[in-house]
Amino acid sequence: MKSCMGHILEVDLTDGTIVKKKVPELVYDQVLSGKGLGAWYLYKHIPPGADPLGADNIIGFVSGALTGTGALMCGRWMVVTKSPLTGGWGDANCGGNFSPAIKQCGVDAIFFKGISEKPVYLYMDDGVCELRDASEYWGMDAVEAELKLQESKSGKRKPAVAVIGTAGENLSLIAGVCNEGGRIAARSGVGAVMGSKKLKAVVLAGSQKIDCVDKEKVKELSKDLAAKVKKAYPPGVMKGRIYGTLGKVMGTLPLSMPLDGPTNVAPLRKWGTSVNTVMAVNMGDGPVKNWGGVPKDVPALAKSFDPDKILVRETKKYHCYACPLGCGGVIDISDINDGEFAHTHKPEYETIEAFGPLLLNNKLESIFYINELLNRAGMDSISAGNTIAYAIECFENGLIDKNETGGLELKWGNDQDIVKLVKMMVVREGIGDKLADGVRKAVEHFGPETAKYAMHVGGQEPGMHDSRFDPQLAVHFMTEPAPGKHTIGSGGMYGNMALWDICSWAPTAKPHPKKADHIPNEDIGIASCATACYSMLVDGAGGCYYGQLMGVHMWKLIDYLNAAAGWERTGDEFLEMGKRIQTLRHMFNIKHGIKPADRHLPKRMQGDPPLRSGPLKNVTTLADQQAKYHWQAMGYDPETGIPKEETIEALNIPSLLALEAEVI
Amino acid sequence: MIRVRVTAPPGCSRRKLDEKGWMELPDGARLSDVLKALRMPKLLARLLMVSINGAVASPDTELADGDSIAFFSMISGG
Repeated sequence: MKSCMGHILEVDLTDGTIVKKKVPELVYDQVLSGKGLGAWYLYKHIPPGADPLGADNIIGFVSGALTGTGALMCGRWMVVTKSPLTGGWGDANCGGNFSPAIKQCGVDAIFFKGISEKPVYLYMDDGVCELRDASEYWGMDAVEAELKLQESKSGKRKPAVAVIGTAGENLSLIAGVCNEGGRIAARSGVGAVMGSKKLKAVVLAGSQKIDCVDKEKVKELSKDLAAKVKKAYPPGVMKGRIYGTLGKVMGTLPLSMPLDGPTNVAPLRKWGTSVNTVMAVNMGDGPVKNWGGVPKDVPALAKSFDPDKILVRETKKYHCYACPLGCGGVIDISDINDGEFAHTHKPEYETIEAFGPLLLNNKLESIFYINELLNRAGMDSISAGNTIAYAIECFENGLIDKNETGGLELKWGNDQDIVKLVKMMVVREGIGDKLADGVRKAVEHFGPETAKYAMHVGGQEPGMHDSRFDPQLAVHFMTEPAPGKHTIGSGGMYGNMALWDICSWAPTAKPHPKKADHIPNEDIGIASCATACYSMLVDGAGGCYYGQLMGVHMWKLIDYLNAAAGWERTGDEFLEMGKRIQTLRHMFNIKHGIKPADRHLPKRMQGDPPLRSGPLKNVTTLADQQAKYHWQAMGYDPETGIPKEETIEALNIPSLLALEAEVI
Repeated sequence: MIRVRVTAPPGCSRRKLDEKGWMELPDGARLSDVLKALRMPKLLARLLMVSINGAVASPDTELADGDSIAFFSMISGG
């Protein structure tokens, strides 16, 4: 595939060897780059039973097949590994500027195995590729270390840096990998794997050219997309509060309506994802009080989380690489906590929700501060928020006492003690040590009677979207090889994407009674299958979730891929490719002892018992039953979730796995 | 002829939409023609923030082939 570099780098941290290898063309042809390349490589090279924090585990930094080609919203990089949080497939995805930097060093992926004796980082540019001593950076937070590491460049080019903070160094199982002073590949505990290998950072300063087949076509597609994005901006009179009202209306309506992807653009350009908070809570999408509350539990919800209150602090917009949208931003927080931090990246919806309504904390300033603490520590805000919610509920029910908390009053909305607890988790101090590995590990410390307050799927805490609100999301939480992730699919996403425009077998979404979503059926299974397959395609290309959400009629991924690779493939053929990637990731899990059908949603997240008021009143979702339709549509055994032999054969996976990268 | 995608709210007439939500219109058609086909009052369309390709649009906006017309938005993820 001309848009890929055709090579990978293998680094053995135990003996310090670095080898560049050529990847067979058929690999790109079958699974693209990104997670596809990562799944192919990790399946082959991580032995069953490998300790995720041991020498046998491998961690890969992977770029996307469209990154650097001129395709817009295709600058995501991914970290792939065996997750210490779930024991199975792990990955995390991030924007920033690191994805093109990988390819500009002449490779599509860098894989690390082994464990270094002392802290190291990999430095790579056009002439140098070496492991360097990172002792002076070990102990630094991710923001500080990134700036210092950029100074270590050998040439003129400013390097892109992927780096862990103290959470990764301390092997927190909810640690991520940071880039650009506040973007984070947060999920699956990937930062702990780096920490276990004593790998502080990857520093890339190459300048190699990234090519593709039909540059003119790629340019034409990008020009069209950029023009549409530029036009979409909310009118000046429109205030962020209107979205909260809209959420109330949508929460009340008995109907579920497919939404049009392009309508996401305007609010994202103006406010970013924070525009979602009040709306999501009001409609039942945003979980409240450790998934057990309702919108009215959140004190002054609309006023406290008004997105204009965040916007007023914004000092500049932030665009990831090759992104016309710019949903990110930098906000001034110099007035908070005696000016400890001058600014922070604008907190995303997930962070605001996880440290706001989920904890009944309506002090927005505390969330800005926590956002920066977590970005610097390199800790996943979704997992951290869910874990603190668990701790508060345990405290409230007398299962954790003040002796264990070191005097902290873990109460709903107690922002000061929530901040203290975050700090303790980051440095593994006191109770923070027990909570720094997420809720599943915390239950091991605090006892099985606390398990009912631990919201996780297969070990990973769920994203901030309610499975009772969107039963397709419930299925993805459970069936995704890296469980609990909110970005793989949902019913809302399905409507936005309009996959039926490119895929002959994807059912068209239409307005329907909300109740119908909760009755397991084959059509929903086919829709969730199509979504999972398309999501894998997006990740193979290095695409952005918000491009995906714009819909296939605005962000034309299929056209981009055909133009970049010189293919004439149909949407159906591309979704088959997505299914191949997803199946490889499932096979990885099975190889490592994961039983897909054993992964369930916590009862509370299923609506068992249902909430007694609010937009999710009396809702129970039959996720286990719906998952069977999903497995069936994927070509897996509907009872076990294990891919059928004929499916694996039909996807050409055995011949793909027989291929080897060759030393050059 | 041009084809535009319409994500119509409930209560509208879907008579002129095909199975996948597309509507055929003559060249030079305007947004108001779509609203008329959906039997939606203009005032209601404004209240529901009618947009073309995500940009709020007035009823007299001329449509292009492939345009996507919708009435409100929701965001997830982040």
